[in-house]
Amino acid sequence: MPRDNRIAIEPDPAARVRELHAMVREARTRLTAPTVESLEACRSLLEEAVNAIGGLQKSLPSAEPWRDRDLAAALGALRTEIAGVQILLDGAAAFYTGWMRLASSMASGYTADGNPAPSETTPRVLLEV
Amino acid sequence: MGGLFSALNSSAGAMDAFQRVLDTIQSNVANASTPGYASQSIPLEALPMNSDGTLPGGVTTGEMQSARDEFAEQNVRQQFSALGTLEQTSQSLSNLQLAFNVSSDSGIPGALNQLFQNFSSWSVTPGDGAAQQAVIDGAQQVAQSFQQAAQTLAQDSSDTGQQIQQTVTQINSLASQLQADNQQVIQGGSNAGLDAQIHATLEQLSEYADITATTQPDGTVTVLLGGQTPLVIGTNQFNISVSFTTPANAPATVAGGAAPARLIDAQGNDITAQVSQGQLAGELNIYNTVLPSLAGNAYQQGDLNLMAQSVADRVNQILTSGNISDGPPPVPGVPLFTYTAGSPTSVARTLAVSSTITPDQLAAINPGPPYASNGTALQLAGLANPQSPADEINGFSYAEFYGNVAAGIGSQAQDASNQLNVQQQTLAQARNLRSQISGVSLNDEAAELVQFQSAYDANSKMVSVLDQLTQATINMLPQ
Repeated sequence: MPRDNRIAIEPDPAARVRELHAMVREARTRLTAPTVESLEACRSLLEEAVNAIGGLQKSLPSAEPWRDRDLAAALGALRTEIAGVQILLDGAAAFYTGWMRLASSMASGYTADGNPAPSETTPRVLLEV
Repeated sequence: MGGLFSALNSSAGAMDAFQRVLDTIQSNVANASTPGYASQSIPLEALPMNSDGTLPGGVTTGEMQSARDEFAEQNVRQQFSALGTLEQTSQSLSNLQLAFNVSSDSGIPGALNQLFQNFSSWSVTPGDGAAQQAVIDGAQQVAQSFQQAAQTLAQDSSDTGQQIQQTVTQINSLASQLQADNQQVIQGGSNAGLDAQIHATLEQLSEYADITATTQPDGTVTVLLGGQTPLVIGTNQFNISVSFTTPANAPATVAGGAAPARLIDAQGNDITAQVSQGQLAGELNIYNTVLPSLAGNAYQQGDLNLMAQSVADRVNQILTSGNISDGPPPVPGVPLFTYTAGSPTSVARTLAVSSTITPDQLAAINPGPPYASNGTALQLAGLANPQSPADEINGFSYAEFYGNVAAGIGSQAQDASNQLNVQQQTLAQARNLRSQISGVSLNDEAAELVQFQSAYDANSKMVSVLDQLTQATINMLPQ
């Protein structure tokens, strides 16, 4: 059964933001083990959150949502959560960048200007007969 | 017979090879939770054989290989250092937050509020002894509140100074351990256990300070503090120390202020600026920046002292400009507060009510013009809601100024707490990435490279999605 991440129709904007928050928190938890699979799952979650927040923006009653304390608190918490995701994503990016540089230099040496040469990472298929 | 012997030899060799592999697996299982241990493996290699029996074939073991990856290890150590900074900062700031309560019914704001109310009551009945006594009592409460806050800060500063000393001792002790390990490596004692011990020590060290560790061709580990200052090179250890003195090139600018904490390397150089991560960096930040901004040091008066002096000077100024009685001759007012002059960083600690003042010496009369029998008392009551820059600190009322200081501490504590929470996950991420990468051979495993390239690509794709989400949230909520 595929997991249903859709945001339920909810009259209270703050409650809807909290649902979004839970979704982003799940992405953050998955990012602590950033494998290809978990990164793809995170992307789906965040894309869904982007769509949901777009819909939420249009449906908000006031042009200044921070005047609603409950909503402002929920949005503040969401922003903190997103900042956390950003940090973990930066951490993973820095690691993979470093690893790829290292891998490139070991696999293909260096270019004339001292940078690691691009490595051959074409996928291979092994057929066993 | 030759064939039989060679077959038996070959079988015995194979048994021996398999035994070594089994021993390695057993060692991996036994050390699964040993700090710093990286799994070991022994490849099996086929021996040459031919049909005439001169080369009997069989199997032997290759060189033992470690699954450790130094790039991933350094990443974990970096995250450990960042965690160390945040743990220290968060803990120190939450202690400070308790001491600087923004609530108006306790501490400095509560005492000031009460004093202003007492001034107001006194202005209604300036000759009333009870109202005058209430002003003296209120002033004593204000002085005590400032003294208590100053004592708390002094205690925090002393505790942090001791912590810095202990952390430096701990760093030197761990460096000494690594130096001894290097000695053992050079003497040929390198093995999986020693390797685990070295890496566990490095991880421990990274929580105290940001270190860079590189393994040399002879197997020893070189450890640099802040990427520059050597702690261990081969069998040499370089101790660091802490000095609580002002540097010659930056002499004190505030009389009587405490000197900053400075880290000194084995050659006597000031290396404080090189330590930007780890528990030590957090302690140095609290000792040299956060606490001095409140309590002052050799370079600044500190907000608490500034506020204590502003309140005391302004109250004294208003009282001494008034008269106790009309005379003739008129009797001028006397100061209410005292503090140690000439030591800007001791004002809050030494703030007191004048020991010679009596309630009937409070000057309520403003000789004017225009004359007002309760003029100074009214002016003092007006300090609660200042109308003139003379009654403010940097454009803020006393209550607002204190509120800003307390809010600043609260906000820093909240930020540190939030960052600590994320950093714990970042460390978990670094450990997971270390496991993920562990044992991957850069030279041989092209398929693994493909996997990491895919992860890298997936990561890049997520960046744009996250940007959209961040932008949408920012649009809904102002910064």
